[in-house]
Amino acid sequence: MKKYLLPGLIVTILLQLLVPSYKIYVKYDILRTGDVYYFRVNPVDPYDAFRGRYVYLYAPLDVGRYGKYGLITVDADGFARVTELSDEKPAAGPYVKSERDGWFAMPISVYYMDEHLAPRAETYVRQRNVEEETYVSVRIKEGELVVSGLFVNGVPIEEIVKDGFS
Amino acid sequence: MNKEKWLLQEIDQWMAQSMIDAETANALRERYTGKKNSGMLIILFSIIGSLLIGTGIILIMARNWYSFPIFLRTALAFFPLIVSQGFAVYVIRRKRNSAAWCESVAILVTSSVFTAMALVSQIFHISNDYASYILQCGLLSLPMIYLLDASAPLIVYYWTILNWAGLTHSPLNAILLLVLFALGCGYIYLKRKTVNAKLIYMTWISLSAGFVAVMIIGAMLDSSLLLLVLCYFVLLLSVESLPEPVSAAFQSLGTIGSLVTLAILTYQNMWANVYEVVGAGGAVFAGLMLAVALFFVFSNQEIHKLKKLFILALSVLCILRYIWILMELDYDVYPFVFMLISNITLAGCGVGFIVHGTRHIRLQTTNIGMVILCFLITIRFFDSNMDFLWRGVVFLVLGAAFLLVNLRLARIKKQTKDEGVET
Repeated sequence: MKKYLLPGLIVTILLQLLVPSYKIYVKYDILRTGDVYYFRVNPVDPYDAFRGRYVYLYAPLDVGRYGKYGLITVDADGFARVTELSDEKPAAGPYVKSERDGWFAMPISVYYMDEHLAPRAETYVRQRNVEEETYVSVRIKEGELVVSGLFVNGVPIEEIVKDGFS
Repeated sequence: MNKEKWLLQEIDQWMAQSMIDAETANALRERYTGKKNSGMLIILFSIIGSLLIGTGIILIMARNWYSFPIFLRTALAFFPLIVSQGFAVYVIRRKRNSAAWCESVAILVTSSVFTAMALVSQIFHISNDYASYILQCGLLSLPMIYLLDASAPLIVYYWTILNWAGLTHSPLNAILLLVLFALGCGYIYLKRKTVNAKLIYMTWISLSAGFVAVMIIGAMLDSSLLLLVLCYFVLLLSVESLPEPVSAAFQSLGTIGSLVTLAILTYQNMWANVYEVVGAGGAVFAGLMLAVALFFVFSNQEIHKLKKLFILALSVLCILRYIWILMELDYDVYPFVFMLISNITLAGCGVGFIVHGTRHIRLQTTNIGMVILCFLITIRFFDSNMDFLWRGVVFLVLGAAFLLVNLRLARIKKQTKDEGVET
């Protein structure tokens, strides 16, 4: 039994390193090579004990609730929208995979921020002029999506709230 | 050199020469050096210390170092994990016999796994993956329990699988939860012969986690929770072949749980409420638990006949209920019939305790029986329209019976003691 301990530990160590590394590899690859889209969002600020503060993002949907894949259309303003849902993987055009089974849920719902900046960001977005555009930039590759930034009128939210705001 | 020091050196040598294993060496050290309590305290403090350090690491990382580039944040995520894994290698090679080292490093590795996985979600803004996040962390930490012989991560493991199961509601996950729970319980099974305080605590924790797991599985399989937990307690009651302190955990939880559940089921309304809930998966799960319980009961010749009778009665109650519902028998009499069986079983159990206690002159056992009977009669007042005068009379009779039985037993006990002194 004792002779298996060290090999067992080495296998465990490798697994513990490989699982997060693989996740990082997949997401980083999307960030590097995926196509860029912008989705309009409404943010609020909750808290996660493990992963810190984040801004909860709500990307409005104009379509129904059922379907595994959402077909993306970019409007005249340059913002992306899910315009059609389907259970089959689309043969052509950009699409995003639902993050839940059973109904369509956009995989844009969290944006992690510094613990001091997140509440400020939420307050800023709540009090902002309604004409200001709040949106996220995302990278999409083969239906997988990674959020890369949260912007208000083209300025990253971190920049706006870094030194407070009036 | 004093005797204690000499013995400790001898134990080290016996272990080095493979004459005894690490567990025996620890048991001998505890026995002859009298450091049992201080050892437990050191283990406890090392677990608390490591937990605090682990939580500190998680919180520092959760601050979100957004200004750092991704590769630096990734390196930060892996740093505590790699350091703690280094400690784990050191412990396996040099400190495998120190329970304090094993427990603290195992909990440190567990916290670091949670941190590394959380940072991946934070860096890439991954949403709604909490259930899979905690399950992955739990599974990646699981081997540490076995490799470092550490119990603290087992609690974390149970917490992760129960949380995951609670968040993901599907019948298939009910089976997976059973398998995952068995993976954790395997540690208790492997350690069953090394009876110490750690094993006893872990048994209690595992049995309590099992109770929660049964509730979650019941909800997943759309089954009656009351009947499923009753089957679980019957299963616990039937386990007697383990060493005494471990078996005591099974018996205590099984007895208290089955009596409380049965008391709840003595209400007619309870049976009416659980009528609709009869998922086939739940019935199979309940049947499996009862089949294992009955196997234990009939394969163990030493089990007390009154206990055997109690387990059989509870099993029949559950089996009859499932047959009744599956065969769609008459609903009008259903709640009354099962309420009646539950009341008779609980009353029979109370009488059994009294008879057993009186025969063996055990005041404690007799009083448990009396408490069960009094409790049963008291709760029946809540769903009956008995006159206050008669209620008063019943309580007077019960009180008098209580006092008389205790007085009689005390006299018999004293008499037996005096006879023993004379002879």
